[in-house]
Amino acid sequence: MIVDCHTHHLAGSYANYGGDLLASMDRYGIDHAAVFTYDGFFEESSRHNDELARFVDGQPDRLTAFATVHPRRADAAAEVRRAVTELGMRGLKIHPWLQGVSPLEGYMDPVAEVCAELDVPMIFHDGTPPYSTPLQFSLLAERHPDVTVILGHSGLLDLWPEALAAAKRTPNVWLCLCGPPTYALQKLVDGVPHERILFGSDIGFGSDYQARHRLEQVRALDLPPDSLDAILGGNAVRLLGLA
Amino acid sequence: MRIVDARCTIGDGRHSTLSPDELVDRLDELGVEAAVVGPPDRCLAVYNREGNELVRAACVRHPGRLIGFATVNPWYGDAAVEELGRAAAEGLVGLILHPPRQGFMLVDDVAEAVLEAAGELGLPVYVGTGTPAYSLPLQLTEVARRFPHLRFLMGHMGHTDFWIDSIPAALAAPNVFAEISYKQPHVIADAVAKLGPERVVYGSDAPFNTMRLELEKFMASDLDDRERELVASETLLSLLPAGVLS
Repeated sequence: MIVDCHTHHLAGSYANYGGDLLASMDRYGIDHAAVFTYDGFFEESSRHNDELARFVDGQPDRLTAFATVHPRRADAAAEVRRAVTELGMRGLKIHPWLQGVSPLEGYMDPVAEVCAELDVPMIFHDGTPPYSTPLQFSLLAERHPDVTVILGHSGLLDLWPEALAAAKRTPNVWLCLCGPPTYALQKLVDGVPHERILFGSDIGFGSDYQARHRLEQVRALDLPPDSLDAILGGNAVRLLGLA
Repeated sequence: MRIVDARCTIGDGRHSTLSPDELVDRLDELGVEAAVVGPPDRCLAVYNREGNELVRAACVRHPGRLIGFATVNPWYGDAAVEELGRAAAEGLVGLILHPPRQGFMLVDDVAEAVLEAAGELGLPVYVGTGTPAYSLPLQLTEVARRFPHLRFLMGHMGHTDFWIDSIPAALAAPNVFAEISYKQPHVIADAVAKLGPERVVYGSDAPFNTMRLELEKFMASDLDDRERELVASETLLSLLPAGVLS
């Protein structure tokens, strides 16, 4: 079973970039996807949490929705609670660079606390200074040891060594392999326990070719077959409570 | 179609190793005629001469298959200029600068003497771009405007987060050529549409990338046959001495 832990749903405000997520998943043999908003990073998050809940409705075997919130807002933690308890969402996605928030300012703490209480993971865009470096998320994870903190890109091209350090330092930091070059992915899987590594493609907008590219990158790694299966799906099944 | 890879690294690096023989085997498997090779990280940073000699020896061993680019760290000053001249005399046909590894900001004039020497020697200059704060597409454009007689290869088009800058930056300096490793097919096609295939070159950045996957995504980009031929080899070869592969 292949689970893609990094996809986006476009709700229509930015129609130029839209794609058909389920068709892309079918094209590349992806069984299930964790899906995040895109429009909601820029607009009213509660409206887009509702929209995303509608999008995944009726597709429990294919799609698991993650909420987003604007952490600066006083109602951010309450919106996480609503999204999880009323809309059935199973995680939180924050894109600090696009949303203009630092992982280490105080407003992030109540958001992390409610994720801990509700037992849902937080996934972040990472790999991009100044507001999305892996060690920033690692320190957030140290402050909130009961939250699973996922580095949504494992450091990208330049900061993967920081992602490696973060995952080795902090046991509740997980990696989503989605962006670093192949040699860096090998270093990451050589250094981090395989049960904390996920796969992601970042499809859902623009071209979906990178689902093919990123799956092939992971399949090309020197990994035991059990670990490959875990990274491509098994770990996500466990983390997200998929049947 | 002739395919020549504009960017590979040989030797023992900190995180990845590729011998010249292994590289040529890989080129054979994939139907790639030749590749530009440069020295590994420690030789970019410090051991420039060792790296340039490694590259020269690889080219001698594999004539017509490997094309050697030299590196010098601009902080060595006069010694860097001297080493670049020596390497060019030995048959290396381009210069690789790597600002993050070599510890300088691309727009800093510490690199001026080396760039002037590259100009006198007629060497194109390859610079990987996309790493803040030291090596960004618009910084390369600024340097390219200061040295309009030099040709610059904008390595991996600002990947990761400065890919949006890469095409506007290249449009602003006609002596900048985009190298497409890491880029997805639609970005490659966009670069060709906006810059023209005479300004875009195929490169894999092996062994950091998987060469097969880089080639597959180049082939998956929506280009016509003539555009693909130019990007695959002809544009790069136009920057190099005639007969470099003979």
